[in-house]
Amino acid sequence: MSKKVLHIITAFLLVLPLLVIVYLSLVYRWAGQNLVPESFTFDYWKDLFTLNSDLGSSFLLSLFISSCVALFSTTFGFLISKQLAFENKKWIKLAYFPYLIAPVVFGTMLQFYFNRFNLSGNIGGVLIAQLLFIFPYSILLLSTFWNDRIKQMAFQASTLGANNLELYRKVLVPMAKPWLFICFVQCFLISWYEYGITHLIGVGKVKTLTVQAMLFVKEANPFLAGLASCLMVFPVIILLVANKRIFLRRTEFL
Amino acid sequence: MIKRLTILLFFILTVLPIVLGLGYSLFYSVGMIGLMNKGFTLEYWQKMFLATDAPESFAYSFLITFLSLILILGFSLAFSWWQIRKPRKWFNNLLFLPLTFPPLIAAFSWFYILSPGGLISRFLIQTGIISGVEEFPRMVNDTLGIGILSTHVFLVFPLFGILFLHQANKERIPDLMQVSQTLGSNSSQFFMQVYVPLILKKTAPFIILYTVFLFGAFEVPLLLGKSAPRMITIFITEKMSKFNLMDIPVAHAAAVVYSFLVIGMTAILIRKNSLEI
Repeated sequence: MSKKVLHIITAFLLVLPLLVIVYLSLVYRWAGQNLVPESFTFDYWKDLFTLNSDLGSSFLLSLFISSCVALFSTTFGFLISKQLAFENKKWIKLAYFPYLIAPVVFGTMLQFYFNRFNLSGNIGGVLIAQLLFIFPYSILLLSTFWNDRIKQMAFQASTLGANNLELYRKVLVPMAKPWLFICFVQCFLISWYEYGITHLIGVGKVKTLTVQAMLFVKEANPFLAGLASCLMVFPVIILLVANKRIFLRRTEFL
Repeated sequence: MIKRLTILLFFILTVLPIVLGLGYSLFYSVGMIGLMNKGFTLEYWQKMFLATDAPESFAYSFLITFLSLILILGFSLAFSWWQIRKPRKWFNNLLFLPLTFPPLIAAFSWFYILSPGGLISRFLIQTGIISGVEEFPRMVNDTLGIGILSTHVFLVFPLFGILFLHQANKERIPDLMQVSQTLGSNSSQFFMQVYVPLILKKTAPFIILYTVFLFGAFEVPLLLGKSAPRMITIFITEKMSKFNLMDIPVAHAAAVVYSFLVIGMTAILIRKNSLEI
């Protein structure tokens, strides 16, 4: 019985943050110490679809940055991890270092170079900054694809006369499809969730959803921060419902 | 040719940034470069260890990481154990929910749950359990880091729980349990002497990985932490962005120490990981 109660309390605590952000995004006025606000509104949500909505454009910007980072990391991660897995397997482990250093500290150490090459405060800089730790992650994840069976298959295809392009198009990519998909989604999510280095290198000018949400928090506007949070979490929940397994693969390379 | 270029690209994208970043920070911290450089000096390193809260920040980061880890492991071991013995599908599905939260958003939500103006406090006031905000205990921006710990547990314990459950099934824990019961052990003995050591050992690389992540946590302490003591990531970013130019080399020195700590922990992870393979 006590275990059941514990499960119910824990379940409630797991759902509570989601309820909080939805609740905040619907609150109109919340004075004093009342638990229930004076009124609710859908206005914040409606404003999203107007042309000059800050949050709407932040959503699109985040979508763009995360897609670019995920596409680059997955494509080049696949090509480079193949090369490393076939010939220099030991070096793959070097990718752990940039992946594990806190992005924001990594960013502060490299900020000079970003300033020097005019990469501060623009989307290009943020893309490169995020790739610094997301690309090594893709190498680590995709290197697990290259097992002996796949390697032998690649050798066989080459021996039977497939050229490099055919090898990728007809053998390797079709076989790696589930890995590529998971890698793309995971890289997308890491970028989607990122705040520290994006804020640092973007100098607050590249307003992704996380940067925008933090701005609302600092302005003491929890209602719009709640809306920004919903915009970040809901698409991921849809993804979760569609394919739960992707979320288990975060540490596939271990 | 293409092969060499690929390897070169790997080094440019992974190793070069670390070398460049660490090199820059190291030179900056010993006064060789930067706006205030005046030739080689260990003054900033001395200052970092003796005249700033850097040592406290490192210690506080270790403490928060350690406490988070203990709580996370405790919860996930207990829940995965209960799930193994009596699976509750609805609960297992709910465990995935926190994985959809960016750390910043989780911290923001927990702020509105635990702060004096938050939901719990409002609930207690409305129900008359406490009479005003001043009676509500401080749980965000507090020294004990209750807010930080709660958010860390919320973010990481579900993932650990799911993975422990997965690992337990892989190790055929239910079968092992039957054998041990036949041989006369009770379930708490099995839990302490078989389940916990087996799961922890098998998932050690994963635990080390998350130790490194927790040690470098930034968004959660940024919103829920205090200005003193603060975590080392906050120390570095704050010192770096302050207008006092003399603070910048100190921040670089702390960044160097932090990086070497992470590199050390990562080396342990790699060693452990290759042993497992």
